[in-house]
Amino acid sequence: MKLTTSRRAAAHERWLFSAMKVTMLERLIGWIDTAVAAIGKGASFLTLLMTALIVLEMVSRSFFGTSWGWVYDLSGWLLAAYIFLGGAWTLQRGQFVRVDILFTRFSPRTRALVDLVAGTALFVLFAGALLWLGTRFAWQSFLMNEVSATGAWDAPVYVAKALLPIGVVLLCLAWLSHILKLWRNGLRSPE
Amino acid sequence: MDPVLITALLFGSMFLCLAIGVPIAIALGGLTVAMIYGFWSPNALTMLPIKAFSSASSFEFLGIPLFIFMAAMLQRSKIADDLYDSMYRFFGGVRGGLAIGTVAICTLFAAMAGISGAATISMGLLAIPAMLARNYQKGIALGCVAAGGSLGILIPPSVTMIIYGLIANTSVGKLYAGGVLPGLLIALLFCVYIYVRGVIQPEVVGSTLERFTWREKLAAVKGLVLPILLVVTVLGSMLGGYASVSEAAAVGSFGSLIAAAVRRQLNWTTVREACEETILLSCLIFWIIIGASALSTFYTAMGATRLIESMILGLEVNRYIILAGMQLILLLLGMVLDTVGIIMITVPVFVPIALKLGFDPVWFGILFIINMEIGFLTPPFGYNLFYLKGVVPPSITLGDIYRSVTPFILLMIAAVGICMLFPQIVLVLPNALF
Repeated sequence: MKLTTSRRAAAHERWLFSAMKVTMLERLIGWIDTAVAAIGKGASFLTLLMTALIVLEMVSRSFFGTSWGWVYDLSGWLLAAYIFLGGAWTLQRGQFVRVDILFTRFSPRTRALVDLVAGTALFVLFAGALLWLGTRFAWQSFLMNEVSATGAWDAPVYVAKALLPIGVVLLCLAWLSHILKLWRNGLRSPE
Repeated sequence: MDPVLITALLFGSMFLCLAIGVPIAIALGGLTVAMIYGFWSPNALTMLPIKAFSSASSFEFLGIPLFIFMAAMLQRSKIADDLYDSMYRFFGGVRGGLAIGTVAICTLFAAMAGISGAATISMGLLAIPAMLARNYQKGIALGCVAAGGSLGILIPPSVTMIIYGLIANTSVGKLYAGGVLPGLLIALLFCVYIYVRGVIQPEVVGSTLERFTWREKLAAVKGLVLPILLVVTVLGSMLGGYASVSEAAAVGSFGSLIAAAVRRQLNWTTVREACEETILLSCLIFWIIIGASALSTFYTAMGATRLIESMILGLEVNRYIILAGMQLILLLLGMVLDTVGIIMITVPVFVPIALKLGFDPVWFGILFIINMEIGFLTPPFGYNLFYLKGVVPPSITLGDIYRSVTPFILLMIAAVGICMLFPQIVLVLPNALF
């Protein structure tokens, strides 16, 4: 009798523990997804800023005869911010396209394995190299006080270059959330 | 290291990783890193962040998000409603008129938008239900929208041409000029086909013809004013040499906001939706470019490009056979792979070969783009098929859509043939303008 109770208690404890693990996982996924989406949505409005800058520069050049050289630099940097900060959200939304001729015919388990094994291996190589070398790339620019060569506005280039490693960190978070979801769904499925 | 082995390993592993369904950007990026590290030198990897940053911050690439935004905003401005109404009054009395008019609207839309989605989605929502209600056969109704929508990447402006031009080192302006006449030719072929089918088999294009008086037709011209103004400003400033491609894109993006305001569709929701759609599509494109940006440097450095080049040039066959072979590869890749991926993988190999064979770079570029356009329609992977499936009534299956595009694909292949026989169709405008 006592034995059964303790066994039951142990089972209950295991259940509680796994439930807790799942909610922690749930929460982590939730945090990542919320942050990544918020940053991506925020960055999406840069389109309007880029449009405005270029149009205003054209107006200034054609009607007032003054060219704002820095607009070319700045709008290029805004584009970098746009692409690097928006990438993670794009990944989260499943917009990183793939060749799906076989993929759609795979079982959900095989599909999860493609991303968990092959996808993750390639992702780690790609993001790892970009993160490590990208950080160095921005850091060197900071150390040598690199300023913008065109547009005569002497803007610090490291600000723009630092967007690359920041974007890659976000991308890593989005991928982490993606594989955690695959893992979670694998846990719950009867397989 | 032996270039033959590296070439086999590179393309073999690329094929494998893409085939099992690893996201294209990640597969190309990861493989490039592994290959450069393993076969070249870890030091060479430093070019990775340099290339990633220079692609993402390039002023020339700015046209990509701006043209996408323009299309997304025009789609939401419901400008297509006016166009559709005008078209209906003009073509309502012609056999197959609704389908012909749909192709005409898609052509005009293609001259405003640089992607194929805007026209396909707008006309899929408007024209397909209207045609089906008037007893048009599914094949014609679906096919003309899917095929007409794909003109977006051939008729300038075109996002695909910006990518191609920068990767292939060909002038985007000349490509834009070169795409005009082939685009009109393809649109004309579509219209003739629909008309002839309607004459031979009247049942496929419905039975009711509705004629309008000239007064009613003239009243409908109003709906054309705004779109034509946009086309003239954007294309005119670019082809006339007043604005760079990116500047014209900014003007277009601004113009699309004005168009939405005129149509009373400018509000927080439409702008936010257009912005969000734009960033998702732009990042999809840019991250493939970033993933593959070091790939071509790697295979050039390893001698893979020269190896393939000497192998193909060593075949000593007629150069048009090689050209046809390259296009066949493009068509096959177009069935399964995304356009940007195809450009990043094939352009560094194909373009040098085409130049060595003495082909004009702009002409080759346009043939390349038409092949990509066909790729938008060929199953299983074709963007226009997916766009259309997303907006048509649920009674229409993906199978119906697949079947509907076949005749249009054949017409586009015929157009490729015509452009090969008469290169002047492509070249006359770029030569006159630049």
